[in-house]
Amino acid sequence: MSRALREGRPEACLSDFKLDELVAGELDAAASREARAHVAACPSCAGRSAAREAERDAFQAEAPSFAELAELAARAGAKAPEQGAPSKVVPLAAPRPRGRRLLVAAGSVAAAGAIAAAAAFALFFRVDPAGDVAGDGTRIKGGARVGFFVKRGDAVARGASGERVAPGDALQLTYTTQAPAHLAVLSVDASGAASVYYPAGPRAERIEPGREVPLPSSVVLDDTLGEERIFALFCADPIEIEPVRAALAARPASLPFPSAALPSPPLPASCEVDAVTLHKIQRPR
Amino acid sequence: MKRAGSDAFLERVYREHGHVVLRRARSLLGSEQEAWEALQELFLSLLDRPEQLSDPTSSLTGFLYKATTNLCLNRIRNRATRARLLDAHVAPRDAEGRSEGPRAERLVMVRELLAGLPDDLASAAVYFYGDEMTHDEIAKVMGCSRRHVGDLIERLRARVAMNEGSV
Repeated sequence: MSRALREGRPEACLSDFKLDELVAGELDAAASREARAHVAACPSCAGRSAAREAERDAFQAEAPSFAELAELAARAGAKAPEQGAPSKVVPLAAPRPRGRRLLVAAGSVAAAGAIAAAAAFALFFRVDPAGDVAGDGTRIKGGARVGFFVKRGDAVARGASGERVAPGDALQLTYTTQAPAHLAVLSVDASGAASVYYPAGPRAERIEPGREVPLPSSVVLDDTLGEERIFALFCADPIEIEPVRAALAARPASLPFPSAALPSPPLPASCEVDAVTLHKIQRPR
Repeated sequence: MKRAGSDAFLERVYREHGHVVLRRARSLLGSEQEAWEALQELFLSLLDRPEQLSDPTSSLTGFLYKATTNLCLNRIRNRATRARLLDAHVAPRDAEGRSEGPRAERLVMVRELLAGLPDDLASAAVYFYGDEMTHDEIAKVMGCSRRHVGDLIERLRARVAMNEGSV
């Protein structure tokens, strides 16, 4: 695991820290020259650098103003938390945009569009375990995983399991895998309804290795509130999806829906599954 | 950039660097909501004690990396946050309760590792394994010598090896 924990970025590429210092203009002249030369020659780092600039612009457009933050502090009577003391922050919901476009596809970022630009951000914990291949070669190598970005109005942000979302939000699902596989993405919502998010056809579709590769279409969330679980099946074979969906749908709707108690989809032998949980709430207008 | 703690200066720091704090918090905590709360907590702390920014040994980005990491590690150690992270990131289990997602299990292992480490090792783990920083960069952010960073990494590797051996 120790090797796998550190094998996400090529040695020659800039660390996130160095890129952040570069974008902030905090490197000395020589280091800045060297970093810029690398960015100019490295498509991956160029994309990461452009994504950081877009991220900064998005934050300036979307985040509460500093005055609002200071006002919250005054209202709550909050003092700076001492080391280890419980925080006294006022719960701050992820803000809505202020009428400016959040992300602009810029420079050498490969894909156009707000969600695709957001999908260029690198993962933080690049936990890519060594291959977990069974003796008969039917298991999928590596830690395949599903991720997503959430679009609310004009704002796009990376999502994480446990994310609070609302009806009308659009999800751009992504996958990461080190080896080719056949992918199917299903969900079960709080009412027990099981849906197939990907693909459109009856069988899992082949995907090529990649990191945070967006699926061809996004999903607009309906108005069923509560917890929704999204399962991504990464399979060696193009399995039929309907039996998996039907099995998920057959779970009694009266059961409570804590994610820890949710049974997994019936897993064909050649499949590995990753899952994320959404909490769908009704946001006040 | 001026290091005094005027509100105008802090506002500029917030606007120009807040996205870095948010991104780190999001990655460490795995929750959009918690990430925004961490951002708020950090800047409220700076409002109250702006002298924290007067650290000549580190760039502003370095200070924000360190402050965000420390703040998030404290949250990770909080029992409720840990329980939620474990719940949110454990892959579906089979009838015998075994996790079926090797990647999800390893992510839980990394976060478990952080929660059990002393402060300096946990920070080093974030910078070394998470950010994949060089030893020089880690020394810059942590405000210590490169040699000390080397010692921390060796201790960390020993802890990781011990964890692997006990799995």
